[in-house]
Amino acid sequence: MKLVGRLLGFFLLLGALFALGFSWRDLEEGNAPSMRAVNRLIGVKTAATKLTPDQVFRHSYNQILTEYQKEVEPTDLKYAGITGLMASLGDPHTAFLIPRQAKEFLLETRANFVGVGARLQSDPLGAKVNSVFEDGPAFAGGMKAGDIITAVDDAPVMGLPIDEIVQKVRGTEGSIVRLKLLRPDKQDPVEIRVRRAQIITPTVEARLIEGTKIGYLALVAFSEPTPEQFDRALDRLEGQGMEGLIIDLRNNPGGLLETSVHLLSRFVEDKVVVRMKFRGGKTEVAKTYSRFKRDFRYPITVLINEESASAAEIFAGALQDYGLATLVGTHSYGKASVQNVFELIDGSSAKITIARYFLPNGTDIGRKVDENGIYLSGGLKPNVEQPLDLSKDPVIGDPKSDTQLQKAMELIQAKTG
Amino acid sequence: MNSTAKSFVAAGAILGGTAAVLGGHWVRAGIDRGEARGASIADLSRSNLVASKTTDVPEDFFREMVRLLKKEYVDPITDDQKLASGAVRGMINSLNDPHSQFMGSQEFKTYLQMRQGEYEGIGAAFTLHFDPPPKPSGSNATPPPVIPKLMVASVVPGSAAETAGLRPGDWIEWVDDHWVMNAKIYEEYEAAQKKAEKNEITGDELRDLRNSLRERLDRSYTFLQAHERLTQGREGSVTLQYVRNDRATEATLQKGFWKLPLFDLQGSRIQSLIFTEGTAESMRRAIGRHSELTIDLRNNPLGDFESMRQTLAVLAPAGTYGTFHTDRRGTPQTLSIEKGNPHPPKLTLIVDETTRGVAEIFALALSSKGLAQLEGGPMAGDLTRSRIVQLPDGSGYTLAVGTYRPEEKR
Repeated sequence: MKLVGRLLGFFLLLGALFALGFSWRDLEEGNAPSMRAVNRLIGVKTAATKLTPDQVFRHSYNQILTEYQKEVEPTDLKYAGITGLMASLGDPHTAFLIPRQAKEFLLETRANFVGVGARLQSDPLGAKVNSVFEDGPAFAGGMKAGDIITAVDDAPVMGLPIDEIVQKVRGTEGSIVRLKLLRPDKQDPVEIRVRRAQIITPTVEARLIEGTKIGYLALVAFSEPTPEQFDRALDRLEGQGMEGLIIDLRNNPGGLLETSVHLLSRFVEDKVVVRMKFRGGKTEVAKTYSRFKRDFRYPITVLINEESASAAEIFAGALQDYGLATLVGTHSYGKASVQNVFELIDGSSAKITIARYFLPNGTDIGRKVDENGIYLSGGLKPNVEQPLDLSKDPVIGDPKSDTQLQKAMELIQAKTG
Repeated sequence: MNSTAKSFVAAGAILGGTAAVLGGHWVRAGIDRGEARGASIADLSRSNLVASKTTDVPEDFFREMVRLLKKEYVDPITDDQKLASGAVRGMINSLNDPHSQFMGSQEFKTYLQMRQGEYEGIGAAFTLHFDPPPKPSGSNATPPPVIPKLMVASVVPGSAAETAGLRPGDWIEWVDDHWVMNAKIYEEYEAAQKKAEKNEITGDELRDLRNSLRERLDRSYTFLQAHERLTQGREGSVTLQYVRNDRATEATLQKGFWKLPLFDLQGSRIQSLIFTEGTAESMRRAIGRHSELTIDLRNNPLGDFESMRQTLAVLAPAGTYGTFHTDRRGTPQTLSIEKGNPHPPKLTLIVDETTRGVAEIFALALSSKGLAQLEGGPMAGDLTRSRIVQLPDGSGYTLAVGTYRPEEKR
């Protein structure tokens, strides 16, 4: 009897352990045991009182494939669904990349690329040439800042997002791209042919603004050599008797956080640059280094716009928080998060936000958008709001037409007298 | 029991227990695999080595994506239905079809109400109108994106929209100081570019045009935003600019609420008929004593297909009234009635270009069989049949499932 009791107890224990193993997957994910799976084990069909998300997706997917009046490619439909799924989180940086985009993304994160050597900005007519790199093929081909690219290889690019236009301009090394350009001073569009080449983007452009002692230093991106280029540019400007500095971060998409930390180490020692908060509350803090601090004896103004993002925002935001610079322009992009890219079996990728960062004084600058991707809030708020007057056909960095630069100069002149 | 035996029992128990846990886990994995037909893409994706066939099964891909997001995304995700609706939104939007539209819960509610004759906002229904896109200039050029216009489909009698003079066919260009995206921007620019090529306008003029385009783009509404402003809410006012025959008119309208009856019977004439729940039954009662009827189908863009079919059964004998065609292979679905009216009244239908969708199918079904006389002008030519699907979170969508073709007249 005692043995039967023991055996019974043992089998009950076995049963319990079996159940534990069965539900392990759910417990691991923090869920209660899945009744659906239990029901399947004992052969009960789950009553569909309310459709589960899986069922909702499957129902619509199958319905579109079988009932929609046109044939739809199942893979395209699946990808469209996953794209929509990820967009529903309302985070512009959490996105699904179909295999083609995933491949492009990989290429982009590598430092060098093949192109024509010009910086482009969005324009209703296509892409406006922001600057042309002096040693690049576009410069040799006669492209000038202020030109507007309206067609690439005969295909009109009007209305396309700037990323897509850039993709069209880029290509394989040595190939020729034909660009239709609209010149501000010319009525007829001109066409130029440019041979694509390896481009190493200069990240710092600096000069004294003509007729003044104000230094203009444009940071194009935050890459590895940037801090060194920054130091050299400052040495040169200071040697020319600079009395005020404008750091232009407009259209700077950011780059390495480490570069931002290094640059800020020129301004402050052992101070918080950014606090990163991960899933589940884990926090990491980035601080500036000592021994790199420079002596800034002149007022500093920083230009930002909606295309200033990520590391550029951290740099500008920390300068603002520590009262070291006046920010001029329009609100910045609001990229306050860290992404990880998960590569999936079929060549597609999922880019997912895994952490957020906060500026030294705790501000969350995260961009918020609605379901259509329209900006709602977020980004750094400039100390002095100054939109770029587009009716003047501005060339960024040109004191005659760039109204934001004019404002920054005004502020510096007010301080230097 | 001696100590050796005891340790054997203990070892057996431990092994048995371990086997039970592993067995349970294995059975469960088998069941999940049975559902998933493959391994998880998420568990392995961290190593960038995702060896699984699950991506072939879209539902599994969806489930794995949800699991990946829940595991990795910086914020906790609790609302799975929102993810599912987002996926459906993505799929429907990718069809790029004016008859297949995803709507958020509030918008979908408004849509369902309008189909039952309950109108908010300015008291009008809208449709997306696609103009033929401008031709690309180059040979291998990709055509520019096709942008539809937000067009008035019908105006509720007595509504703010009617009082303001809005008519079906007008299209909306501005709402509350926001430009509503439309294809005109391309037309204008194309025209100007041609002129510039022929030296008919100066570079300055082209630049001015560009600046005005940019200004408009900077403060623009999407169709959905504009539609929401025009069809939702019962209080406040909305200022809009509509275009008719290239002439723009501005108007400020007071929002309100209008409820229409199923139809309006006067003598032997039926007006403002809505194909919705109850219409067929009311029609049956109403036509009892009439051997001749006139039905005015103008201003009728929204209707429920099944209600229309039931109404058809009240007014016409049993039979097949046409087919629905698709681009896919297979036998087309038919529009047929099993139990009809063996003694149908003599019908006259008044139609014009504001008769569209279900109402247009209704008119063609009857006239193609010689059961009704059509009067008025040509109809909209919108013969698409759409399914309407509501999702658990209240959002929903329409899906075009076929184009109606009437039976050949004999």
